[in-house]
Amino acid sequence: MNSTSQAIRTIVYSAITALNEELPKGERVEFKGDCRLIGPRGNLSSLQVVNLVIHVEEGIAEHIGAELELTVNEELFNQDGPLQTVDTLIAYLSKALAVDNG
Amino acid sequence: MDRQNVSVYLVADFTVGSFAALLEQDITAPHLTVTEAPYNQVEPALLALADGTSSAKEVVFVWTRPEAVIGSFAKLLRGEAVSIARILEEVKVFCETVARAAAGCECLFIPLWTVPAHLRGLGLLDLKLQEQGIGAALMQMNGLVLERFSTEHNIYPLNAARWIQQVGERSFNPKQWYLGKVRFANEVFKEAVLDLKAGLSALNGDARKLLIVDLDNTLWGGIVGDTGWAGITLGGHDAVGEAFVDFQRGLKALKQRGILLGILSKNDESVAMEALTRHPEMVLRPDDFAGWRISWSDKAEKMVELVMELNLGLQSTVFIDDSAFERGRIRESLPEVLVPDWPSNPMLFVKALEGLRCFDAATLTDEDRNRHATYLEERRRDGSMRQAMSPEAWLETLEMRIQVEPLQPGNLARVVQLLNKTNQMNLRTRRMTVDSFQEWCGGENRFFRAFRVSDRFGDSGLTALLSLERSGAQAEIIDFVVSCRVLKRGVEEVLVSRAVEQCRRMGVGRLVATCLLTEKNGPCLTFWESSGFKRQEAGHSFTFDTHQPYDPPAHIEITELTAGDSQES
Repeated sequence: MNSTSQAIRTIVYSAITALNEELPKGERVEFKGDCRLIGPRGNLSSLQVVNLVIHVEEGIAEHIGAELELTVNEELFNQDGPLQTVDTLIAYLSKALAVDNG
Repeated sequence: MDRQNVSVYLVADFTVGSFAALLEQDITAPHLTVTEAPYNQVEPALLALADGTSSAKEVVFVWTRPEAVIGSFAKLLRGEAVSIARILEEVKVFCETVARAAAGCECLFIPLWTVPAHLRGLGLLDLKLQEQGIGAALMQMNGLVLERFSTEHNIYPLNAARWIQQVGERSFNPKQWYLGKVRFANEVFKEAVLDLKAGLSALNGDARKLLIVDLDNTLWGGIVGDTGWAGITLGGHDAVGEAFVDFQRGLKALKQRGILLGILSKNDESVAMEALTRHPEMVLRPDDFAGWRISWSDKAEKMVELVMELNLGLQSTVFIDDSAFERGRIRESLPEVLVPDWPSNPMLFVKALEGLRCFDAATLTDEDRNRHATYLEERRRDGSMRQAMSPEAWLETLEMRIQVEPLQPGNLARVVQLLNKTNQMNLRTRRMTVDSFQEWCGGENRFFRAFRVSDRFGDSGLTALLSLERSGAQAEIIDFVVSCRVLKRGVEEVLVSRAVEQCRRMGVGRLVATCLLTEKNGPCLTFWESSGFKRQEAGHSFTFDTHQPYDPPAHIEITELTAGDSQES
């Protein structure tokens, strides 16, 4: 994993940490790649998803210096879209930033 | 209000789901259960509280956008011509609605209005043109809100602008607004959570009352034992020296608010006192401190001694020390003491001090402002006791006077403050708002008196409360509250004697006192155990046959004001 990929993972985990502050103990998002975010087995409300995505956007702007307009991308919020799991989100961000995720 | 669990009702015209969640997830006391009024239904929710169709609430939090509740201000934002008089007229109407809603709750918090920082209005002219400037209008609107609520006992305006300043540019994210109708970032909500929690603690009487500080590298730079008082870093044309002076000024400002200051330092007392007395730039002198322990002994041990000497509890105490070791020692051995993390750089001390919310109080009375003087008198009193032959002989020399007075507008705020702040000598630890207490006292078969205590050393102010409730042939003591400032001088016995006397006047033969035990009112139970009342089997109830005599202590001169007598507030 290159340093940018690692930075993206750190940014996503940091966004999850911020989101977890407003979630009760049993509903917190786990720091696992296969943890569901949205879809049938995801627990997040639409407001929480928006908060997560905005945290990620801000983190990428601050730490990588790139302006990703995630919030205007409707595909992102589809049930089978990039927000299905933590890993699919990271993969999507890596691709969007044209990063080699290998 | 239950001290540990409080319900909060959020009324807002923007999405506050995250704010509600952060309030509920915050682990500091009290625990909050939050319900939200329907989204953007501010006026109906407030009217329902006012007319009682909504169930009574403990705490109501009304957070609105100015353009959403003041139509003329929305027009101003759109660039339309609106007179400021028209805007302020609408603000008055809104304030009246809020004031009426406050009747349906114990207390109501209302953050002042803000607009996003990027909204510059007319730029250079925004504050100059009072009729057209957005900033100018907003300041006048908030000014009117403050003025209107200054006389409402249970409405507390909050400074939302400070929360936004703390967070900076990220306080408002337009994307969050368009996607979720969320007005503020979670960081702003977190600041609001801290202020609301601090406010509730203040209303619960949990404000800290005593701040104990270390000396070397805390009050001044350097080790006075090594350098002598002339060699310490304090003031002068020196960045660090100035920072220490400003820190001392910050401590002195707390003292003016009624927070007692104490010293806990490992030093030779004579050397430390010489520095406090002789250094020309020392802001805090020995008389600014209610007490101190300066020795080479263990600080935890000495802290207990000092806190006991001041008749306070460890739960009222805050400790500031530059040494992480000493902070850890106190945290581990005396967990009730609040020991904030402390920066190593003295230039950050003032910021750390001013960021502490633990001193927030629900009221500020003359008694608070004079608290320090009272403790100085106490120190002189203590010196006098050491010279006296016995505690009884010492009490005889005090020339104590107690003025008994009914509940009146002039003493109402202080009475409720004392009720809500007193922990140790408090029979039932009731916590009430001004309105609810006044209403309670006006009830049938109830009796209330407040007690002002003074002696030859000075005036301790209104420092004790007594209330009774009659039920058939017996009466029960509801409030038996004595400030720690006047404990063990016979004041407790005066209250009991007055309660017995009142029972006789009401034709009641049996007086009952039931101590509801808390973590802090052990001294109250101890008093009742030796009060002369008969303890009931199994429990903390005590009874007295009011046909028996219960004379007040002979060393106290008692006068009684009636409802018509004038008095100082």
